[in-house]
Amino acid sequence: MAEAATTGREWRIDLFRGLALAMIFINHIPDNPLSRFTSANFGFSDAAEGFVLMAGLAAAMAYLPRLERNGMVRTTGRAWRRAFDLYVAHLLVVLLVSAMVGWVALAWDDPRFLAWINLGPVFDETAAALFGVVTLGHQPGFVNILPMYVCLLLLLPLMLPLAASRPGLLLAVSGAVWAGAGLFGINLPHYPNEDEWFFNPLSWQFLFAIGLVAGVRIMRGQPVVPGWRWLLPACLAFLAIAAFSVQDGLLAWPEIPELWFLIGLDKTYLPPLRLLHVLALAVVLARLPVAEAIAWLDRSGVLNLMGRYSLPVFCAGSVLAIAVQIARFLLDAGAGTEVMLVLGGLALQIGLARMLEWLDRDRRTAGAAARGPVVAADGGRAASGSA
Amino acid sequence: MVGLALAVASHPAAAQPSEAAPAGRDAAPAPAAASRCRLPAGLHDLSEGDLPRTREVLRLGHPFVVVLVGMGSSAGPASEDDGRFGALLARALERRLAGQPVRVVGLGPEALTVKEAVGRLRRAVPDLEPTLVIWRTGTADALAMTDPDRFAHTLRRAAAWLAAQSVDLVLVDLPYHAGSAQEDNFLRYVEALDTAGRGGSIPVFRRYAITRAWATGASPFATQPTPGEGCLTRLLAEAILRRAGDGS
Repeated sequence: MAEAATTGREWRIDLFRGLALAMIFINHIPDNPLSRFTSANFGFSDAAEGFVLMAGLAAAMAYLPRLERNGMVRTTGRAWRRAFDLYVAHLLVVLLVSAMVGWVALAWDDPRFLAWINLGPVFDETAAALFGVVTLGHQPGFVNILPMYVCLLLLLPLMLPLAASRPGLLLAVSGAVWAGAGLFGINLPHYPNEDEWFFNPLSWQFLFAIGLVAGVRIMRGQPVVPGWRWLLPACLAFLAIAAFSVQDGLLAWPEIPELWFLIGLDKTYLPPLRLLHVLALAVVLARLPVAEAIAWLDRSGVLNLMGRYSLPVFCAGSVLAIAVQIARFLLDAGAGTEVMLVLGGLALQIGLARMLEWLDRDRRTAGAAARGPVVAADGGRAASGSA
Repeated sequence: MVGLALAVASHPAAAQPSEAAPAGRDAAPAPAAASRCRLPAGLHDLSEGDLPRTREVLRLGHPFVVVLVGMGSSAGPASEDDGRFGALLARALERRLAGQPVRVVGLGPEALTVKEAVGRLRRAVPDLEPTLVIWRTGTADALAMTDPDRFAHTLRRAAAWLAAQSVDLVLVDLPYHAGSAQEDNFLRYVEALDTAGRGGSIPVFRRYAITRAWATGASPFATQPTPGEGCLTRLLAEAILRRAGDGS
């Protein structure tokens, strides 16, 4: 953690990102015994909302200094290069899970396996599905967050200057797009399936924009959470009501079907209840020493480490989650084995982050010896995969 | 709404590996294929449960709007003679309902877990105001090993919600595949779906039992190659119209 502080990163963002990554991994193995303890069971939003909000914060922190130092053109280039890295990472994840599922279907001689996580078209209609995969029109189940994030990074050169100069305008425009998408059901299409994106970028960009505005304020030393005295109790009350009402599942079935966006919990369109919930949670986490408490529990800094290497850890987690799904199905695993499989997957992700940290330390040392501390600091930041 | 369109193919390669012929051929069956498309008497009809809205729409001659959930993908537009489930069902219904407008809309890909599918349903129902939802499910939940009780509970809840919107529901369970070491895993979701059907009086088209009867050597209905999606589609359309016609 001390090391994170010296690299200038906000350690709490890394910590919560690490926590969100662990929860996303656990949630991607449906109904396993550990999934009962993730945040999705205690409120309207889940780890995905937290992750995107923090992605906005982290993007502002990583790219605002660049924007101010290097100007618009170079910052755009860097953001789009990062978007390309994410795109390549997404394609690799899809390729790996497709190969895994295909091999299992062959080895166990059961074509029903080919339908795993909606990979059917990859095997059935390969020509169309390949086109769909590279154009992000075919997104297998559980492997659908990165395409949305690619879109957010492509939009970053438009959003970040506004977040820095006209935050009110950014939030108004972004909020209008979010509301329009939700109220009129506007989304990007799938191909070849007749479907739509699971994470609608037109909806989720609003949460990213809120993160960007907050990140800019943090960078400038301005307060992020308003100082109103009633805010913390109101947020706590909202979280408590959400935790209570989500148990019933009633909100999942709005009695007035036409109002599914305003009163429902449809994750694709990030409806108001989910958005308010993640913002209330962020206020509570910012105001109360929750990060300090988690850091005290996690003295070895594992969550922080995962958060610092969020992209490779996320990609590894996406592949491992499907591997665990497959393993528990083939083994017809009981609860004990399931927990071991899930913990094993988490251990592999932690091991990956540790290895990357070790490699980077090596590179930083070499860079410092060869070129001096300024270059080394930049190399360390770039390698840590912010945003 | 973007993302909804006339749909869909079934997943013939996954569901029926022995159906080597293009699905389109199945749509206009040769006599040999037609003779294979038969069933034990007990499997001909949907399980218990009524289709009041469908009956009313058919009686009054109003447009019959069917939403298919989990019926697979379609690469490009479904042509008149291809084997896609949506096109096949539309044709099978049109043949039997001379002159009555029929619209079949595909919703979401195959292999959606019920949790994923309900989002699509909630959004689509107010837009499309369907008469009937045909929901093929179970495979994705079996593979993802979602909690079978929660799976059944969500299906019942969805059925109650659809009934409140005056929309009928028919469930179609997952296919059988001979020789799987994991058959018990799949069977758990067939049973959970059956339980949901009984608990919520939702008619179920028993695809698992049908495909098992075709694939099991001891059955008098065993046949090689097993009949394909076109046969299942015809049987499903007939079963729905029979139920809506006689109210049994």
